[in-house]
Amino acid sequence: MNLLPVAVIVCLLAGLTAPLFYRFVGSRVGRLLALLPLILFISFFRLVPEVARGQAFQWSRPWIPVLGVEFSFSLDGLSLLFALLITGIGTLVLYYGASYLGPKEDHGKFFAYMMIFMAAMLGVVTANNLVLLFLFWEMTSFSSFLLIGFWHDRDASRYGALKALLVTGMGGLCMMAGLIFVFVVLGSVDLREVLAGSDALRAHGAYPAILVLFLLAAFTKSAQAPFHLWLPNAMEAPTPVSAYLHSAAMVKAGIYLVARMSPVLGGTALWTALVGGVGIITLVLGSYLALRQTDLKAILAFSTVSQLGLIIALLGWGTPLAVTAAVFHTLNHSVFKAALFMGVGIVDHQTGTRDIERLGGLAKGMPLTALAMGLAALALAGVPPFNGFVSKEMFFEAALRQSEAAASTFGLLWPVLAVLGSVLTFVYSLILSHRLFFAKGGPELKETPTDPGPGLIAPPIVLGGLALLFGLAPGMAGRTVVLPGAAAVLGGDPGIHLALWHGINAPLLLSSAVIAGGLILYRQLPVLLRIVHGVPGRINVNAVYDWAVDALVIYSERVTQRMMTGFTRDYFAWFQWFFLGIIILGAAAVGGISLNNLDLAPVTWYEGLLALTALAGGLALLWLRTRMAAIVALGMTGFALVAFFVVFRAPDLAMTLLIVESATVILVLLAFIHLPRLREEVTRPPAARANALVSIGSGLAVTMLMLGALAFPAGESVLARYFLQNSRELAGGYNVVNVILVDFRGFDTMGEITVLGLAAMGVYMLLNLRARKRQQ
Amino acid sequence: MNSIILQTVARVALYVLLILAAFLLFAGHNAPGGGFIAGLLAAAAFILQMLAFDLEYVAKLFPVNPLGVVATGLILAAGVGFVPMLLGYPFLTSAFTTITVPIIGRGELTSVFFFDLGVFFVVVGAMMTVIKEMASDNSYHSRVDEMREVVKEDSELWKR
Repeated sequence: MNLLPVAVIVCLLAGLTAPLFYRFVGSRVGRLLALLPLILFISFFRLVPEVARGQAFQWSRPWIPVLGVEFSFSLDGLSLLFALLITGIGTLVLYYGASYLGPKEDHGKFFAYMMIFMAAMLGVVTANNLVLLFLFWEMTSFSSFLLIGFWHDRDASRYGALKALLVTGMGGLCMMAGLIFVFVVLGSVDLREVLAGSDALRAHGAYPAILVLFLLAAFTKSAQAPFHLWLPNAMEAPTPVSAYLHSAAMVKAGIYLVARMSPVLGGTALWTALVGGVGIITLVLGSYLALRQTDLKAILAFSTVSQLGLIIALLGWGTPLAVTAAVFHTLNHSVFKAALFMGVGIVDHQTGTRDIERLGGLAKGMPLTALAMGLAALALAGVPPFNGFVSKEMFFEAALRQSEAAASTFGLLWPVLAVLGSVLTFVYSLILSHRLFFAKGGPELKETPTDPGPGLIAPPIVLGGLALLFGLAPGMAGRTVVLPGAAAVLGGDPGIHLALWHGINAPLLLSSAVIAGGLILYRQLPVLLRIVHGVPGRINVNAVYDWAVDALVIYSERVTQRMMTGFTRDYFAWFQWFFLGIIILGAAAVGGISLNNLDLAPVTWYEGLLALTALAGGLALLWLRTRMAAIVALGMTGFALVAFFVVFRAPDLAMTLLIVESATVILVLLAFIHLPRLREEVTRPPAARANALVSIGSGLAVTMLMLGALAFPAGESVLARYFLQNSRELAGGYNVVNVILVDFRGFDTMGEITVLGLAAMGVYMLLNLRARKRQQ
Repeated sequence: MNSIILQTVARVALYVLLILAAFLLFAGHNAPGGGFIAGLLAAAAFILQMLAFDLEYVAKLFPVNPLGVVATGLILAAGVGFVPMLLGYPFLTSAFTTITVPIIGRGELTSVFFFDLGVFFVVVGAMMTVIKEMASDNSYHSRVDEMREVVKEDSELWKR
């Protein structure tokens, strides 16, 4: 099944080359790139019948076989639903974004970030290996950072981008810790094997830790309370980005993770309490906070928080009905929330403001926008016959069953909170539709805003139409993607029939109550808003975040200032102390260095002479007071070592060291003019004593280490024997040293040359920056 | 520095050193040598030119951006690692075969040679970057006098 890696790679390549395209085709780049997710959408869609029959597609290549890490992708019902959302809504967002961005904006950079983000998201939902999933997960954090901070000249954008990165990045690290735990417990990070070992995992003592770590990752990504703080600040992104990140992509990655891990970690009381509890609290908190906002995008931001809470709560309950509802609502929320974001983007684009206080009665000039946003808002409110109504009915039913199944009267909280959240949702949905487009009020804008061109208006209308279609014919979406998706989570057919009309039953009564209550509250909106704004003393997680970030900066500054004195000798002392500590700890761990088998050859006179020369060079450094002489003395030590290598028949090392010594002397001479003059510094006695201690100590430590290595019987080294025996057989080379460097330990060399390249870049930048500073 | 002897020697030595570097690069798999030494030697050959002539002369001999050479080397080395992955083997798996070339004779052709070539490029590029940037810092000429002064003061300090 090559489509899976190809989809990720092609999106990534498109992202990397987008700036190049932009140079050739100009601002058409967005529309052209929109074809790519469209093609992928169609390719994925063609797999629907097979996946619906329960077939899963696989593709894998080994990566780090020792650790069980593979480039392994798989596509089941759940992955397919998310892949369709990512590519489908991605197509519309790219098309919309091409018109949204002004001609002066850098389209190349924007679409590059978008495509990289899309590649990362596709990777997250199709990865079949936890390590690979984690990598793509981090890639979404990183690319969303770039997207949110796209207008990087604005303070608020940078603040929002950093906040999103820190919060979701922290979650990513938790996930890494979680997957390491999983690997320790099960010895595998392959999702299929993890699924097979889920019973062992749940019975293990580390289960609560694993669960909490994975949930932290999902909750930070999906903006669940109290980690919802990054999402409103992420609204600083251009609106197409918000429409994508906060409907179908970024935040849905957390949903995907919870759904994906629920057969592995779910089904316990702890899972239901944590996931269900956090979800339902987020639902109420988000809808309440949405009411407090006046910025349209902020309303949508908190609305996203609250709707995600709804889905998370459903996944927490974990019954077949709840999971099906969760999957269905994931689809529905992506559709109507993307439409709403796009609509708000249009309002912002055409009127120049997003402040609800200043807007009203826009339907006269913007009937199409009103239509698109009206459809989407009614779906969000859960009004029949829209898709949001169907999934919300299922939500109510699941909540009622959950409360029946609960042992205590606390179970009653589920439906109560569900209804409370839904009523508040209903009210702000009307603010987004009725008040914005039909209510009178708000100061008159200079000119009547009109509908924009098709590039902006077509995508939200398509999505609004889909919201209606999925509501009228829920079975259509159900059979194709929703039920296979739920089946993938549940491990079997959920046995649920999606329908608009279930007859008169308790959920329908709750829905009617929500609509009636919402209408009454909306009529008394000024009173409601006064009450909402009047609630004092809410816990402000933003203050905690700001305090933590400030404290982090201050304390790292203190540590840095203590260590980074600007004197090379101090850094050197730090290194030596650390080195000494490692040696002592290491020696203690293996029970001391044994010198019993020491079998030393007699020292010949010329070896002694060379040693004395090297020693003399080193000692001379202590008393020399000019730099030139010091360089010569250092060179003396170096060349004496070269002679040693020659004597001991190590031509490789001798040759390398000889050239290194020559080049170093020349480099130091070149660096001469950049260095300040040598000064006499007075070192205080305690510091001098410490220096003496560490230098004598590390000298002794190295000597002991060398003697210890010599005492180790040469024939017993497994590694040496392996390399000597296999160098010719496995790598086709007789020079074992070189074969080790480029073949057996090629990965190390790879790292070393990377460091070397970075060092060269560092020198380049430091010298050029300094030159530029001097010019100013 | 403007020594005619040094310049004459350096001119010839450049080719000798570069040929030696190439030899070390190719020989590395079976005899002392390898990308790292070869790279250092090649860079040293250019450093010698800089000492004998000046930076402009080196720039003419080495007319590419040294950081670009570093990047080429890194991409080459990483590319050698990724090719086996496309064929379904782990990262950096090597392959070799024995071939017989007329005149030169039997030899091994191994995929890690290209990895070694990458190492070579990175070393040469990094060294050349450092040398070029240090020597071409635009305050270089203005600070040469200052440097002379420092050296003079140092030597006075030395006499005391």
